Amino acid sequence: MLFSSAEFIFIFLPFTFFIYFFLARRFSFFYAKGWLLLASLFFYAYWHPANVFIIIFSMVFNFFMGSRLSQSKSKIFLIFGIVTNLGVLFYYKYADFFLANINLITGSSFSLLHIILPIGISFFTFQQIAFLVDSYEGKVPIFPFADYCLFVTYFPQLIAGPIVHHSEMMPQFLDINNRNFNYDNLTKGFFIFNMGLAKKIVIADTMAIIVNRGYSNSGLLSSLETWFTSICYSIQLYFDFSGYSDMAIGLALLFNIWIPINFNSPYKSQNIQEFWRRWHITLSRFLRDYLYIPLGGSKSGEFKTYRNLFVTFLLGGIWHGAGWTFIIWGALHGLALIINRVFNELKFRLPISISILITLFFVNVTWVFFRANTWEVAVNMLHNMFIKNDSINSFVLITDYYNLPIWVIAVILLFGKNSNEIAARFKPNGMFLWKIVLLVLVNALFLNSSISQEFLYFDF
Amino acid sequence: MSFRLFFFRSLIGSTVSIIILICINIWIDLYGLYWRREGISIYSDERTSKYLLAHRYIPENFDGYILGPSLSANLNPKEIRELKIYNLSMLGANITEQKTVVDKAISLKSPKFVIICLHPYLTVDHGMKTNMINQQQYYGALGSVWLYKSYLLKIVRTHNLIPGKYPKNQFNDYGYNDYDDLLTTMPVEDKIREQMQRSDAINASIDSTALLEFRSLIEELVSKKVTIIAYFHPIPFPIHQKYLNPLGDYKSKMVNELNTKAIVLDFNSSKYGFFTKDFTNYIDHGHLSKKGQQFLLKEIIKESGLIKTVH
Repeated sequence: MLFSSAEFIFIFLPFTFFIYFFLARRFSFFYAKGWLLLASLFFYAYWHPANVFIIIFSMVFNFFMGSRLSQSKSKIFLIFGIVTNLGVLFYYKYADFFLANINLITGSSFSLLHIILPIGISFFTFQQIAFLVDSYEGKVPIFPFADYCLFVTYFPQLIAGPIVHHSEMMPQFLDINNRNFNYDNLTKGFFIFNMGLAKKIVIADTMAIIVNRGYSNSGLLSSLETWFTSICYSIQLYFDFSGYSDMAIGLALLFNIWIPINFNSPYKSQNIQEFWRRWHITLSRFLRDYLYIPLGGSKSGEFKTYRNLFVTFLLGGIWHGAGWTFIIWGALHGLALIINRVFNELKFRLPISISILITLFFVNVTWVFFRANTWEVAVNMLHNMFIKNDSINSFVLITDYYNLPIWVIAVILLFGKNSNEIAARFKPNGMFLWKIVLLVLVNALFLNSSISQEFLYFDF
Repeated sequence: MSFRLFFFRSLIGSTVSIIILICINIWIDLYGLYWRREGISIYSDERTSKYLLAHRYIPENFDGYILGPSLSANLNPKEIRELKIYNLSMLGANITEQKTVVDKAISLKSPKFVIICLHPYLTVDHGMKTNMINQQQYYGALGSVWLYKSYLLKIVRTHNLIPGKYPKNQFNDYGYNDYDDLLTTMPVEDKIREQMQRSDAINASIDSTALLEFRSLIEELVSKKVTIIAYFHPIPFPIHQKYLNPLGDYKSKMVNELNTKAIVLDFNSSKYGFFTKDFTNYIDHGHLSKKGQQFLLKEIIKESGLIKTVH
């Protein structure tokens, strides 16, 4: 059930919303939250009902481990908890990749398991590892099991983030004032959700037409077509994922819950370090707090700082997917961060516009590894981009130009005010009334136009 | 303005805007789904348009249909004044797509007859080639991006703004698709010579699922007492000679499928050698020229005795 699907927008969401506030008003906050938990589990089970047992097991295990860690502060318990979480993640996400490489290196012939990845497992695993670590460090107060389950399964952020932290979510689930129907939040949430929906169905899905065609014919593309495909993917990925994040933020707000922003105009970044402060912010925050700093951060000398940066981003790459292309992508970003740090040490500065262009160029090129399904496709794309491709064939990437206005709007929006900035200026006045009506109208038209495409980050 | 008032105004504003747009689209009724009954042509995608027209316009206005891929799509049934025939053929269509559109038309009202173009292309594969034929398009006719694209193309075609790509009278209200100028890229003789040099010019194999779908279509038509005329499309003589054996196998399998259920005409027989050897009947290695189209359609009508059968 995609956020952009009719069954979500017209059935699941209204049903969940009205019953939640009905229970909160007529009965108790406890029942309302219980309903929200049930609805979230249903939302999760909608993809693959059996997977609901995985998330239930994960919640029970981690809540139990967290409670024990709060009391015992046992490092062995902590290691056991983290290893179990990573073990489950490894089994579902990396087992086949691991076996395939073992077979390749040793010449053995272990059968691949062909396990279907439970959706959102990378996200809820990270959230709960953070919970375990903080429990061990005594940073987690005691709270009810039901609230913990709601923190993990809360449907707006369950499938593709943002990766929320218990310290920002639990107090909100405990705040009795959040049981009240709030028109301010409802209106803002409605507006933000519609902005996210438009990003997804108007821009990202339109870009996907070129991207899918380009990447599935990478051997036939000219240099210009390859560059165009790669740029379209950079745009698609941003609008797809940031659109999803906006929708999650908007949906959460309908229930009076604020979840953190995940994007802040990343393509305006002047260097790669800034890029990672603006792109998938909650992942960067997690990697910083639970990987980079525990490894020693920047407190143990330059060489170890470089090593920590590289390891953090290498693992960040692996987190995104089981494949060498993701590993290369993570390694390239790790290297770029090291180079950026060296330049900073040398006080090397470039004009802002040049810095933005170089950063954008690097990010765009490395997205090729992120998008390519196989190593061969990535090599084809990079070959076409950097070595002139003179092959003559009848393939044409762009078959019509109906979507040209959307391409232009997308590029303008990349460098204009982002949805967080627009939402921050939101006021209930005539201007915003026109904007919201127009957004709803455009979304309705696009929703009624095509078959929904899955969000890109569902695969991670 | 309070947030409460703003919220309700935005809900009402959005709802009213959507309703107004829907009403405008119903009033225009580009596909005859709501009130328009006559003279509806095609302006944009042929698959979507014919699928939507098959909901009401086609079954309510026509006695018979022509079915097939592009090879039959440029037969102009409007020239047969004695019969009201709609050309439901679609460029690049296989049996799955064709059957979906026919099923939709038949679900409202059975035609008196159908004319089926038999060529290996129709049954070489199965499955939808695009997502342009699906029930969602029906709701899209109330307001969607492709509907507005169709409006735009209607303006483009009506005013002949891009004649090279969107000619003014490419389609008519009988489903005729005059694509001749769009497909003609080289002299017919050169095109046929080029095809003769290819080893894969004709793939005469029949996909097993496609055959099942074809069989199902025939049985459905028979059960509704629809007269079936099936004709083997005239293939230029040299190409037919080159693929004589596989095309012979194809023909015997299809004849076997149709058995006594249809009137079968073979335009590759020696009787029509004068036609298949005359390249002025073609625009390329298979598609017919105006001259070829007119002869073929009249011959089908004459040989099948359709006019007598219908009247």
